[in-house]
Amino acid sequence: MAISRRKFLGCLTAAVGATTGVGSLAHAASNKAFKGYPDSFGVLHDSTKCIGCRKCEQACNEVNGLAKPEKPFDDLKVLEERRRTDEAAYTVVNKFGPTVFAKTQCNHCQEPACASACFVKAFKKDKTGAVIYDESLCVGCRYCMVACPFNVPAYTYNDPLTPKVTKCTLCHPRIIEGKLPGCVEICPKEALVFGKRADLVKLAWKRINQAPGHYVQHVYGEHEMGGTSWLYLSGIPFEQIGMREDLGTTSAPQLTSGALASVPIVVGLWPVLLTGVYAIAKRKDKIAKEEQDTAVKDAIDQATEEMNKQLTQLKDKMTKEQQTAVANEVKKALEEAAKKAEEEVEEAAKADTPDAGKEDE
Amino acid sequence: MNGLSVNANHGDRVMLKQRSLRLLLGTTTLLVLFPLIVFASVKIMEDPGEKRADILTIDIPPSGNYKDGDDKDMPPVLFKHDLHSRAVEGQCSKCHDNKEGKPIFKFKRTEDMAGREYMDLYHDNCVACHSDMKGKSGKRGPMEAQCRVCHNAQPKVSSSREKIAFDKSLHYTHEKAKAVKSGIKEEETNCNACHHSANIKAKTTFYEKGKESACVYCHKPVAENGVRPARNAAHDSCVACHLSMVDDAEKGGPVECAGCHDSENQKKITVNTDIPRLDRNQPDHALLTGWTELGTNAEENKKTIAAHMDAVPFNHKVHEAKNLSCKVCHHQTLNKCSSCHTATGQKKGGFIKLGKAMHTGSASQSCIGCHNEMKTAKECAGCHAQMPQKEAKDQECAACHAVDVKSESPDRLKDPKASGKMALAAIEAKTYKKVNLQEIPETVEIKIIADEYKPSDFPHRMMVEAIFKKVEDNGMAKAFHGTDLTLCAGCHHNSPATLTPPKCASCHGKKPDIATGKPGLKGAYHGQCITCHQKMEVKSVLPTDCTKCHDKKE
Repeated sequence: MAISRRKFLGCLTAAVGATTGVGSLAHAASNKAFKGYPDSFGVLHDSTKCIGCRKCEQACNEVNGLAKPEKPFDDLKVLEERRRTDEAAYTVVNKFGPTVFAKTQCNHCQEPACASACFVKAFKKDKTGAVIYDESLCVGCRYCMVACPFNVPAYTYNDPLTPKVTKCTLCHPRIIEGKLPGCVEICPKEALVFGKRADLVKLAWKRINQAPGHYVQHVYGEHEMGGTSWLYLSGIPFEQIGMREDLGTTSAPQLTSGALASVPIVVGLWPVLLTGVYAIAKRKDKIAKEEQDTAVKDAIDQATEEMNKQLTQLKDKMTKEQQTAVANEVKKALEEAAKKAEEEVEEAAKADTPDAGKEDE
Repeated sequence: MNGLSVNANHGDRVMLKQRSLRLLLGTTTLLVLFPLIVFASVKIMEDPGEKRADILTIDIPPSGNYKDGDDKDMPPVLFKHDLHSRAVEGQCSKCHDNKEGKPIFKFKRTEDMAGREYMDLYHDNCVACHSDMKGKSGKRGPMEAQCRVCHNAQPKVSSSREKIAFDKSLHYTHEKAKAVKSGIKEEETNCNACHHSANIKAKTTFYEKGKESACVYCHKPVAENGVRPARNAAHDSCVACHLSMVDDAEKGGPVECAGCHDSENQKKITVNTDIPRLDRNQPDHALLTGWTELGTNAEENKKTIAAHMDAVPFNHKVHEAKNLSCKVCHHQTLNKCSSCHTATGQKKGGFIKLGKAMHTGSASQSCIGCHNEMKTAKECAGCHAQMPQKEAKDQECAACHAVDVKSESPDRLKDPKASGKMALAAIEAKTYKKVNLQEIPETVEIKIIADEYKPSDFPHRMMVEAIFKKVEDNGMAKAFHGTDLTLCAGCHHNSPATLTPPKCASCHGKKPDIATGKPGLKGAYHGQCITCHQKMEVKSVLPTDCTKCHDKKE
């Protein structure tokens, strides 16, 4: 195995540490707290004033040219059932008690979750405060619907060819013209007040302070999910008028920015890092192999040399011995020959004359 | 061999048959039982258990002479008192010891003890009695080994005990009851049967005429200075007395927990309507002043008087009649408010200054707090619920602080009778003057913002008459809406007191004014009319019934 499991996990931990460290560092260093566009607009919905007449629903339907609903808007029996926004209704009013009503629509977050989830930038927080949707950019992934903490965006499932995401536009086109949003304009009780968000926050707190006991001491939307352009007042806990109280005050993009900021690093740095780790491991192996090879070669060479040496020595020895033997044999033969000759001479002398022996001397 | 295998096959077949039969039976049973199981479990989930007014929670203290291995953390025992008192046929002595001839309402003891001793006391005595007793049905209480029957962490019973309000009516029932006898011969009233004063040091009680107070002034929720807690004091006295006349169903009061503490039983308690005033030498009328006491130095007194607000003429008699007990205002003692709540505050009064004690809008014992509560009644809320709470203005102070005493002699002010007379004079001087209905328009056409609907023909005089009628029946409303134009301000708010107030449109524009919080015209009209109708619970005009007030344009 080129890289061990242990090694890999070690590297992984280090890499994750490095990337997240970089991510949160980047965030902390930015020192940002987005307070929304200055002078952006919003709407204050005082649910204690709402009488559940559904006029806002009607106005919304007309202003946005939506399909006429099955039941007419003056049919208040509709309120008996809990409804949510859909492709044919950008706003709905729900009933939470005999005289308790609350309106639901896109809250136009200061830092919208839908916009941060959209990877084609089909959602944009406009300087008017409206979160606007650009149908032409949308690829229909519906991440926005998943991302929205208020469960607002709907989808035209019934339109198979050109489906789109639908939600309240804060009547952006009307605002630009200087008109009020449709729902605000028609509300007979002024349960909806349109104005600059900063002023509306002040107005909301003014109402709370002027009528102690009448309101819950909280302006919903002032801080929820980093703040929303729509603000709410209620006489009973917001949970009881169908609004989530578990959202916290951190905006959705802020919640995910740390993790998302590390994506480029992960994507960019990881291949390099991992390739590096791989290359180093590989190189190490290679060097080790080379060293091993050298050592083996050296050992073999050394052994061969030694063997040759021994062999040479042996050969020399043998040659010497052979020579010695040959020499000895020769000597022996010579001696024998000499002896023989002597004997022959002696024999001859014996046979011929005693002078023969003298002749040998 | 052959025969054997045939037999085996036969056996298999029989077994197969049996198995399928069993399966079928099992499935059928399950099918039949399933809805029942679901139904039962749903029922169990929905069933909150029995609610009883007689539940006593027996929970022993966590420390005190415990041995190793004592399980002192067992769940507390919810004890059904009435069930047990019936089981012993009302013989209190079965569980309660006597001390000085009176039953002590502690279990088998007269004094409190330490943790482990309780454990033994309860275990020994409960189990011993359970083993002796057997109910008519043959059932008996849990025995030694049935720990969890009593120590049940998820009891199927819960307490529905309601506090009993010993209000004026119930007080009068006891006051007039012949069975409640005076313990002192020369006393005509039977007050001394219950009321006593105490010598804390000597640990004795005695009767002091004219000093009767509510029990809870001394008997606090927990024992203080050796004074029994309120609950013990009430049970020791009330139940003991009721027990003494237990044979007389006519005379005797309840002796079971549920008799007093069950909400249904509470509804059955006789309500007296014509109750004479409780006599404790209290004033009929009083002048409420900012100073606590005047001295003897004339110059000093003059300064003191000058430094305080004008006095408030207070109709004590009327307030007595309107409230269920003295405790509604006199929450700690029956003394003057200023005896604890001094002008600058002191420890005795919780450092709540007199001014605060009288004016705190959120405290029901204070003047303003109680009157604010009154204003939430539907007759009043139509106008009052819509009025923003603002800082008091001079003329509002004068509504109560009506008696200028700067030129009065301190002696007269010091004398309760004389100052009471002054208060009465000021109260009687208050008048309620109605507006002459002929002077106001009969109808008002509201057309300034008519758009989708036709202008509204507002029946102005009819509305005013209806409001006037509500005030006519209410003494407090008459006292505080004295000037003829006060009532007009319900709608014509922020306008000078005049019969020709400015038009709504002179303040309210087409759009709401966010900076001042002033609603726009549409919001103002609808807010005023609809909110008033809602608060006054006018059922005939629904807020969503647009055409009730203005016809739709063709």
